[in-house]
Amino acid sequence: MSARRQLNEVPEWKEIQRVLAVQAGMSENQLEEIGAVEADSLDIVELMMALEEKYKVKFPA
Amino acid sequence: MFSLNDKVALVTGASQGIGRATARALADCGAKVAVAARNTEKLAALVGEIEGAGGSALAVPMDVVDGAQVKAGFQQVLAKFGRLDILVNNAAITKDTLALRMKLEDWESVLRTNLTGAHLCIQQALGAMLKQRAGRIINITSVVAETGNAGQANYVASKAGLIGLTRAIAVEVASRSITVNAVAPGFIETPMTDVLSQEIKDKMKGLIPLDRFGTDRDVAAAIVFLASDEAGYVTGQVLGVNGGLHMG
Repeated sequence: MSARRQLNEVPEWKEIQRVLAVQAGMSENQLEEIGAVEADSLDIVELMMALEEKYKVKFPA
Repeated sequence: MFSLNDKVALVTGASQGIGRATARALADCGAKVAVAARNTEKLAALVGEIEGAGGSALAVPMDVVDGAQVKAGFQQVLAKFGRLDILVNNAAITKDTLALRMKLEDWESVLRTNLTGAHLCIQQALGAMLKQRAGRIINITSVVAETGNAGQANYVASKAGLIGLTRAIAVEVASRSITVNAVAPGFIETPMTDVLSQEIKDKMKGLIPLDRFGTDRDVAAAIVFLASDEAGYVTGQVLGVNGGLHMG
């Protein structure tokens, strides 16, 4: 049972977008693609963990 | 026994009894073992024993009820060994009395150590295991989780909860080749059971078809199997180590 959702549904997405744009130099198109990634819950959690580790940000629990 | 060469394990409640025997058994099979508990003196002695036998070990002072200590402990393990392959959630306490007389604080402290502590450790372990796309989580429950036991409502509830936790996490992370199982010891001779009266011990022994109490090494052997590569197709299971006391 995996709830499919997108990263841009996470409340902090706007802040993450900003961090990724500034620190990783991602373009708006790239950010849009990442935000629209549809995956099972564990994929999203792993992506969030990787972003938290890389950019020292914290997603909501 | 099975080979656990190059594997890294963390065992909670490792200062005595089943946890201590498990740490020794994992090390004997080649694993590098982080031993976690509150008693730093006993941990230091255990690390000395494992290293004296040619193994590799790390003492991790940790109270599993404290999320910050748990997080710091896992960070210590990853800093030292660089990975984590096996987590054995063994830390447990008892505060026995009949349910009608049980203080709320005794109910909560047992649930917090035995069940919430395991959850906190699993959260930390999964961070490493998900990246590795492999891992073994083994939760130590008890035969009483399935049979019930008078005077242990808090302990029984915590151990039954561990079985539910085992199955829930097993489903959540199966796609990453991480297995999650439980081992349910029966009557094992440990410091925790030494305090029982001889009358109760005699009564219990009469109920065991194999006609002896278990040892911590009996339980450790089951844990080593579940930690091995050979157990890669076993997940969400409860392995009873009880001499036939309960068959279910």
